[in-house]
Amino acid sequence: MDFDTYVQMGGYAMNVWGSYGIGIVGYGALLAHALWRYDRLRVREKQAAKK
Amino acid sequence: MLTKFANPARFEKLAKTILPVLSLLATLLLSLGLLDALLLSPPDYQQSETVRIMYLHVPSAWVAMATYAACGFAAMIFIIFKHTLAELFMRAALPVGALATIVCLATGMLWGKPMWGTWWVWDARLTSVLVLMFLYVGIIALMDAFDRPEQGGLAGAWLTTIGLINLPVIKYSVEWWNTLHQKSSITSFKRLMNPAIAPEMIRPLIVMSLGLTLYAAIVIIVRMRSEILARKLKIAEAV
Repeated sequence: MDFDTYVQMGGYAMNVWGSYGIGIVGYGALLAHALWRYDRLRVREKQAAKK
Repeated sequence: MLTKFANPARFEKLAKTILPVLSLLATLLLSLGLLDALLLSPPDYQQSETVRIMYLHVPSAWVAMATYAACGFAAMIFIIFKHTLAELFMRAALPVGALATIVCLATGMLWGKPMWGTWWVWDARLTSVLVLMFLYVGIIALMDAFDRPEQGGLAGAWLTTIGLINLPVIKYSVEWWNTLHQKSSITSFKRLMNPAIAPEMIRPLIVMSLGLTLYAAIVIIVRMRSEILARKLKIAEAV
């Protein structure tokens, strides 16, 4: 199977790639937010400890 | 025993140890799962390539329901023992479950349009999962609506406990009513060993389900650590 045929997903490219796009963006964003918030709180904790 | 393990300091220590292992396993499983789901597994003879949507849709549905069940358990612990860690677990886990429900619904709609000819039907399974999403969003909003977190936690815990009734409704909706949504292919461990679907298709389903479960566990642990830290800072800043 060549690349173009694969990407077309049998004519359901929007549905298949759309689904995985939603999943990857959604789950990725939640993980990134969780890590970013924890990191920010750690910085605040260190600043509070210095005071 | 519950109190021994539900100690924030002990939780922090445990989280530090298990997070790298869980992260490694989740990365491995999700990478393999995605490779299998999008490349190696064959198209279905009826659903064609849209069957690949199932490898994200079903694990998301599993995570959505399992997270709610775990929140229900934590809610009851909080109501009975008033243990803060149970409340923090709920606060950390609810958005994860809500997102999994949204992904489940969105991927289901993207599958439904080409297969059923419609994005949405008010069938028992779809409606009960939509109710689950509203429950998640409602509980999150309710818990944040109070100035005192314990009060918000208690209100949220009661609503979560009441909402537990929706889980068997989701699970058995396809048996109790005539639904457009197909019946479960895996209903028990016995059926898992002798599934109604091809082994090449059950493989990405299981790997993705395990990977997404680990992902959910990681996000919940990180969010719990943040909640503990935020509470500590709030107390420190108030003094």
